[in-house]
Amino acid sequence: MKVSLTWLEQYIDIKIPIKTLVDKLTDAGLEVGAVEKVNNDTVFEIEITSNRPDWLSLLGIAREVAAVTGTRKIIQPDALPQMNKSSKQKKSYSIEIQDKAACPRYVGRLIRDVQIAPSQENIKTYLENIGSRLINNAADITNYCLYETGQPMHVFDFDKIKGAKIIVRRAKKGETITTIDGVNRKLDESILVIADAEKPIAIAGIMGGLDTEVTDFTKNILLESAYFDPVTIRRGSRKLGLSTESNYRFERKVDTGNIVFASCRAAYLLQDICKGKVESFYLDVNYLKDKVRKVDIQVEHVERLIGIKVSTSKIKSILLPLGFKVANAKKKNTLTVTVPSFRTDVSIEEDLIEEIARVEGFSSIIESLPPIQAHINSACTDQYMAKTKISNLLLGQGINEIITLTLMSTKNLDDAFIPADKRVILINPLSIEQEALRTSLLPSTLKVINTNLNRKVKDLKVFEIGNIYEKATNKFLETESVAIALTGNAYQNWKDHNRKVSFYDLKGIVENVLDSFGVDGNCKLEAKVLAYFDPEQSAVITVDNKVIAELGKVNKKVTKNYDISEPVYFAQLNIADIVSLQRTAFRYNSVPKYPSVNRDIALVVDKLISAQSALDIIKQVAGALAVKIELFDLYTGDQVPDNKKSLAFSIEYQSSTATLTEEEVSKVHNNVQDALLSKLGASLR
Amino acid sequence: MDDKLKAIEQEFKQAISNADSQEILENIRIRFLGRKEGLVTNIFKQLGTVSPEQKPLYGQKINQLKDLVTQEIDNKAKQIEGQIAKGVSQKASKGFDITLPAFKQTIAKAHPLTLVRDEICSLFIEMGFNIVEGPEIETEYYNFEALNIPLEHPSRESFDTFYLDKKHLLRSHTSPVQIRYMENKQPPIQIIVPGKVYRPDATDATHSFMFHQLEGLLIDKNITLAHLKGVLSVFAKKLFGAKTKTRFRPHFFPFTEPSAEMDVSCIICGGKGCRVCKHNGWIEILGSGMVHPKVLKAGNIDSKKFSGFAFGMGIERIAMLKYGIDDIRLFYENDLRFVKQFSC
Repeated sequence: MKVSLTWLEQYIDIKIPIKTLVDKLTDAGLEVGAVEKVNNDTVFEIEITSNRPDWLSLLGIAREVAAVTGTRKIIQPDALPQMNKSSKQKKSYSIEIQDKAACPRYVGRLIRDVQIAPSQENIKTYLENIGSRLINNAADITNYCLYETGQPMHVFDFDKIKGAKIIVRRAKKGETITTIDGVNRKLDESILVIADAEKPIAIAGIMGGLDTEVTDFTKNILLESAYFDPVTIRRGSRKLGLSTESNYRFERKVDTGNIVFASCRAAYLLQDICKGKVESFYLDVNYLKDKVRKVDIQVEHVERLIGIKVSTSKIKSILLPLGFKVANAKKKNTLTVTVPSFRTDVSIEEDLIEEIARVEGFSSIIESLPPIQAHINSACTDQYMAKTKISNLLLGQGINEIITLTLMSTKNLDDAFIPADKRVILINPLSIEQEALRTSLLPSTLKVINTNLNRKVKDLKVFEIGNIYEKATNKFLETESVAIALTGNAYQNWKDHNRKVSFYDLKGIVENVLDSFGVDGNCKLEAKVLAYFDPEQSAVITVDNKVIAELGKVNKKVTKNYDISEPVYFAQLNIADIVSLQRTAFRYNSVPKYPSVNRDIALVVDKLISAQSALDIIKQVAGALAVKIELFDLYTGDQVPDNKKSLAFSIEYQSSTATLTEEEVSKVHNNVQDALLSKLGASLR
Repeated sequence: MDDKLKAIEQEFKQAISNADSQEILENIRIRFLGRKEGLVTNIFKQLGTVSPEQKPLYGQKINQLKDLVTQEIDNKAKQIEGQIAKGVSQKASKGFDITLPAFKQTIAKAHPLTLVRDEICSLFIEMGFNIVEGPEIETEYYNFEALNIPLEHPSRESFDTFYLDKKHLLRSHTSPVQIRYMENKQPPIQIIVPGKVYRPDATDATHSFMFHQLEGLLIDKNITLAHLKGVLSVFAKKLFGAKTKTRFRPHFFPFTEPSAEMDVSCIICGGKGCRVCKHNGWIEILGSGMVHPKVLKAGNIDSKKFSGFAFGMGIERIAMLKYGIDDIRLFYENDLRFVKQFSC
């Protein structure tokens, strides 16, 4: 809220420098932002929290200034006396409230024979300095009083109110109103209106209607001061997409104790400035049951919450200037505090303790550290630790971390061939560009690759740790995953260069991750065609038939959709699965005592026979004696027939109980060889 | 005798011309001038075998040889030292260039948001906090009601939310994890909660609909606002430097009472006033407060026995301050020329 200093000084004598005032207000929770000079005036921008509607008025701020600067008195503005509202006079209009919950109080007052003209100098300057639009003297008075008292009010051209009837009701479906900003608005039952005998003449608490607006020709004015239900006003404002200073205050609850006073104040100004004749009675339709709120505060609880002792007399001297009434309770060391009607935020003891801490100043609380407690909790969860470990492992292999947005368009998902089922779509997205939660890390990773390649940043190796989301029956699942993507050249230097990354680079990285958690033994790599991968290079890693990772070469059509012209290799692993499978207990194997013997074997086999099937046979035949089996060469070309390939293995034989003799090694190696030849239909090379 | 002297001189000249390191030179010195077995030293001993009249002549010749050897070794030594000083390889002649780039798998860089998150986490872990996490997809109950944010209250305005269906939403802050954790644990509770949060803000240089928060919660017997100030001031000093001052301003959050925002003295100008701190010397870093009794109640914790404080901060905001980054979108764009700059 903008606050003019000269205007504020109408209500309180501020004897401290501006800088001190700004600091004091900020320390008390009225955060002062920009301080500007406007036409010989100083204007503060104060950030007012949603719990303090009483600060949305100069009188409220003056009260706060009084509290933080000592005991200086508030200068109340002139107002008509609050007259006895019951009158024997014939009433020239009526007020009917149909929705008592939405409008529990409505005060109407008639002012006759007004002279409408531009506002006089002081009101004009004040309103201009805080950037409020000027209309005419009558409308400006309601705005002036809004800033002064915090109570939004409205003036109707009384002679245009059909039937001299004010009806507060819900709008009917199909009704419309042209508001004073000239916009024709469609109304419905969710919107509260002020109507006359025929039609809506104002949107309650939000904006008046054009037809009944006070103009230069207006003779008689009906002044409205009311309490509207915050939720109703908020919904109406949202529905209409219309927000004003008025509804801003009603939504935050106006002071129920201020409705009549504000009316008396505005009436005084309408009489004084517009030279109107105020009718000596006013109508006050009141269904509000304003209960007096009393809150007990135990003196020692203050110290328990804020860490400093505050005496009973100090508590009193803090609360009194803020408008609270304080009395000793029956219970020892306890005060009963009566909460003023404008303090809608205070309902429990802690609220009062905050007032004490706030006025005392948070800076007066001496910092201390909590007593040390030994506890058995881990510094983080297993899963969190696993993420850190994976991250470090990947960074060590030269793979950079990326963090991408989790919301994307459904097109982004479609372009990456991510299946359309199980998608999570927002019901209120900002735009269709961000309407879906990712069901895979692939789309956002491809976007990063595209961005970088377009900027000539090449040979990308990236990973991301984050959630993927899916819809299940009656619930949503989020799965923490790690994605790894590679493009361009592999690790290179001035001696070895231009080797492109391949499926096997990716496989190696994935294996390293799994190895580091000790889950390698149970894993099975299986070919499985996934839509977003090249069918030839598409695989999953399973443990007991459960897929824990998928890896492959990204389908050319997918990379094309993302405007990427080179191959991308992508893997995605489920972190919770890795954590649940990680090896927890381990006992060491003794270091071999006896020497090992190496034997090589080169086979020519059919192209479709996998290296794994040969490895499996070697393991099966040689058993524990083969301590290491390595494929050291794969050959296709002139030396072997077209449909064949050559696989060369190096096998290290070793026994844990004795030195193997030449004969023993040859025997087992020959068995291996025979098995390979017969089972794979292989020949020796 | 002449032949012997000639042979020694020839061998020496050969050896000295090939000497290209201090080590080889030292070996040459020992071979020729060594006190016990040096060739020149030994030849002096053979002076007895020549005739008495030839002795002075050969004595002079041997001394000349000794001078020559000593001089040449000294010269060579200076030459080698000079080369070392100039950085020329002692074996430059063989062309091995130690300055060629290393063969290495370059270690990659973590994302700046991860670096900042980890730094903040470790500061709190040092103070006894534990890291816990919670779901990003939440219910209205955990995101709002349990945190004393009633439906249709204006305080919800700052917590505008993406909805997935009538019940589920994307959490607008990490605070729901407070409730989830309290439901299962009794005090002492001392946790921090890093994670992604979502708010429907239009994207610009300082706003993103997705960003990262870090939440903290400490509950025990006799915890006061003084402890809140103590812990958070230590945190600020550890993160921004020992000279950092802190200021706590009253504020409003529905889930804490009293509530405070913490400012730190501007990390750019030290509090004198500059563009970054909008010339007031302070920068707002986090929100905090004493946990509201209703929130404790929602977490099944007896507010008569226990009290505590909570705090929350934006990781992007701190990273932007720390590294002087002026556009939040850089974090999610992942241009590797940006991402790879950060190492601490």
